[in-house]
This record gives sequence, C-alpha cells and structure tokens, in this order.
Amino acid sequence: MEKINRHNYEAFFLDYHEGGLTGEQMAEVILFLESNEDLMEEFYSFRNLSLDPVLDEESPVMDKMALYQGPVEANRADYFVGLIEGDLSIKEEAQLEEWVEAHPQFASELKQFEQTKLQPESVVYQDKRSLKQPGKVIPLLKYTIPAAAAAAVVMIFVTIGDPVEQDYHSRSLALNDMELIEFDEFNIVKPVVDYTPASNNIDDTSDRTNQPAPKEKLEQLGLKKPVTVDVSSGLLANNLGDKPTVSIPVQKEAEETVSLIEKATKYADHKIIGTPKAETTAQPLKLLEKGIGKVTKKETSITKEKLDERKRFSFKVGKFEFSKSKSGKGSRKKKRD
Amino acid sequence: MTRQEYNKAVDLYSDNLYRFILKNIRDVEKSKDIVQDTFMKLWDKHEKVSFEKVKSYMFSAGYRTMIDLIRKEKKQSRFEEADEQKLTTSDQYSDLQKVLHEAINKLPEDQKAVILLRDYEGYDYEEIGKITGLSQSQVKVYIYRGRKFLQKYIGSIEVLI
Repeated sequence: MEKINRHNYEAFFLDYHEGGLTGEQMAEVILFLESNEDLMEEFYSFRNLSLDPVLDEESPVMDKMALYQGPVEANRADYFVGLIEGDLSIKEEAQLEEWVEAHPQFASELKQFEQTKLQPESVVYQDKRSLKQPGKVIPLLKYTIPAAAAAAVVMIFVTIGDPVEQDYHSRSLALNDMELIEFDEFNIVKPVVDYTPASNNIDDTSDRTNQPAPKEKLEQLGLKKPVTVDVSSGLLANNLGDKPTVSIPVQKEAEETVSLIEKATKYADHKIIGTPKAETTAQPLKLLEKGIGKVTKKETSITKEKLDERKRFSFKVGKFEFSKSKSGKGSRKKKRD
Repeated sequence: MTRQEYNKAVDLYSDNLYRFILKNIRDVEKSKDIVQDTFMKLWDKHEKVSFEKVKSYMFSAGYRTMIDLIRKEKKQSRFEEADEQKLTTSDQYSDLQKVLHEAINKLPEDQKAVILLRDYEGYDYEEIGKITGLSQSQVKVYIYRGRKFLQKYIGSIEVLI
C-alpha cells in the first residue's frame, strides 16, 4: 500500500476507522494529521461512516486518562514510556511491575518500549582541523622595537648623570692565575704584565696568594725577564697603600657617551622625524622622547629633574615605566673620596 | 572561553553535533555546513560563552541553524531522498536498530530532534527545552508521542516477520 498523502488520504481515513490498517500505517495516519490539521475534521467525519457502535456514540467522551489511579490498560503506554524515561516514582514503578505481572500479555509491549531507546552510534566529524582556531602569530617587531627603545633609554640613564669616580681593586694575581695565560714565545710583542711579588699583591683575605711567587717560575712560563707596565696614568696616588689599585675616572667616558648619543639622536631625529637640524641641537631628551614615541606609537615621556638635593630621571613608554633617583650628597661625597 | 578551550570543544563535541544534525536531516554535506557554521558562531562569541555551557550552546545554535535551513528550503522530501549509503554508520546497526532508525526518520522534525537529544546526548527535558526553545511539557509530550510511534513501528515489523 502506498504512503498516505493529500491525494489518497480518504482511503486511509476510512481504513483507519474500519480497522483495516497495520500499526505502522495507523501511526502514519496520525503523523499525517499532525502536519495536516485542516483535514482533522474530515478525518472525524469518516468515523461517522463506521458502524462501530463505540465510535458512533455522539455523546461527549470524558477524558478518563487523567482520572485513573495507577496503571490500567488504557494508560499503560504512558506508564511504559514513563518507566523508560525515568519519570515514575518508586511507588508507581512498583505498581506497574505488579500490573504487568498480573497482565503478562503486555510484557512484550513493555519490552518493545524498552527497545525504542536509540543506541548512540559512532559518527566522526573528519575535518576537525578546519574548525579549530590556530594560535596568534605575534609580529616580533611589535615588541622588539619598544623593548630596544626602552633598553636604550635605560642605558642612557645609567650612563648619563653625575660622573662618579668608580673605584675598584684589582684581583690579586697569583701564580696559578698566571698559568691560565697562554704566552706565545715567538711573538715578539709579549703581553705586558706588571709583576709584583705576591706578598705585595695580595688580598688580605686570600690565603692562597700569601705564598711568594718565585721569579724562576715566571721565567719557566715564558717570561724570560720580569716586565713592567706603566699604569701610573690611571693610578691615584693617595691612600691605596701597597695594593695595586686602579682607579678609572669615568667622567671623560660619560661625556663621550653623552656626546655620541646626542649626535645619534640628532641624526635620527633629523632623518626619521624630519626635524630641522637646528632644532635637534636643543633639548636632546625631548627629541629622544619624540622619536621613541613615533617609533613605538605609544605615549612616551622622558624627564630629568632635580628635587632638593636628589636628581631624578624617569622614562615611560606606554605602560612601561622606569625611574632612577640619585642623591646629590652621595655623589659629592664620593667625589671627595 | 579561551582559544584552547574552544579547540578542546571542537575535539569533544563536534562529533556529537555532527551526528545530531546528520540524523535529523540525513544530508552529509549540509550537516557539515551546519557544524561549520555553528562553530563559527561559537568562535564569534567565545568570550561570552563559558566552557561549561559550550555543549548546550552548540546544540542550541546548531538546532536553530538546522531548523532555519529546513524551513528555508522546505525540502524535507529531498532529505528523505538522501542516499542512505552516505550515512556510513548504517552497517553498525543491529536489525532492531536498523528498524528503529527507519522509524525515527518517519517522525516529525520536533519529535525526532527531542528523541535524538534525549537518547544520544542524554539531556533532560529542561535542557532539551532550552536547546529547542520548547517548554518542558512540550518536550515531554513529543518524547512520549515519539516513543509510542516507535513502539508501534517495532511492533508492526515484528508482526510482519
């Protein structure tokens, strides 16, 4: 028998009421009516053609389903579905179990309801990669340029400022250290080392260097005769005593560095920003601030200020901030030393 | 939801969503399109969707996309004519499950969707209601009607056998 449609439904409606359809066909008729509600009235009109005395009753039918207490034949399907859906209470489950035992002809029907549960099957979506979102590729320059600019400014702050004389004591030379130096005997220009007997060239805390170093050993190492280097130009003849202390004045170096940075800044400012050369000579920090701001495209601030006796440098690019304070007193004291 | 969580959701739920859509419309290519579209929507809103709710969000978005497609094309018959061989899973069925899957394809869309969500994904009435936009009582009615139909279908086949 063909499927029910809007062209052949009359035959199905008639067969439905005459009991001539299978269970599947009856279900199809019901589904057909759900999607074709305009034919519902016509469907019931076929009922009147039936000679079935029950269906011929024109008296209003009471919906008894809501009145039943516990499972009965009329509402058994709802109980069966309720059981497999887990909607029944413990009491109702017990009632149903008891009812099915008393009506074994419906046990197979209950089993059929249990079989309506679909078993999840394995379906794989093959192209998962097309759904995923790859990680972001971060352009290196985005961070390297501000970082380089920040590092450069930090270097400037470290270098600029009051030149402070930095004192340090050289590490004592011992024979063992000498052994680490490779000498080329055939090289005419030998490294020039100021050798002083270890007794005069030791750190007080070093036991290792308390032993005098014989000159013969030095000669064995390739130094045929003691050599002397003139380091007096950098040596402060003050309270250093016997220790060979070297003092490197950084004043000159700092000045040179500042001069070099200023030149670079002026050049960069002129080339990158297009500032007239005349302007680049004034306020190098402002120009540097302007240049970094243009390169990083972030708010940039470089300030150098004097508060009481403290000097303060601050540098800011976007959220990155750096500042350095220096006590004027401390610097002067160091100078006096 | 972070990008990593989004990608994890792809691993965890794309198969389930694909199965759900495929079982409903029985068209492989359209099912893939809907899954793709659903995940694109998810990524657009990934910052607003928490990982805990991502599965419900996906099924909800996928279901709506599917319904829109069905309504737009009004080609349910075309879905029914889809080549069964394309549904590569048919070999897995036992005889009963074959009958059952034949039967489920005869259900109206609403009933089919709620039963698939119930049986495949294990959602309760409330969750199914949120996904489909139906009330809990509607969901329950559809499930009960669907079960009764499936039982009758199985019964009729058994009679024939």
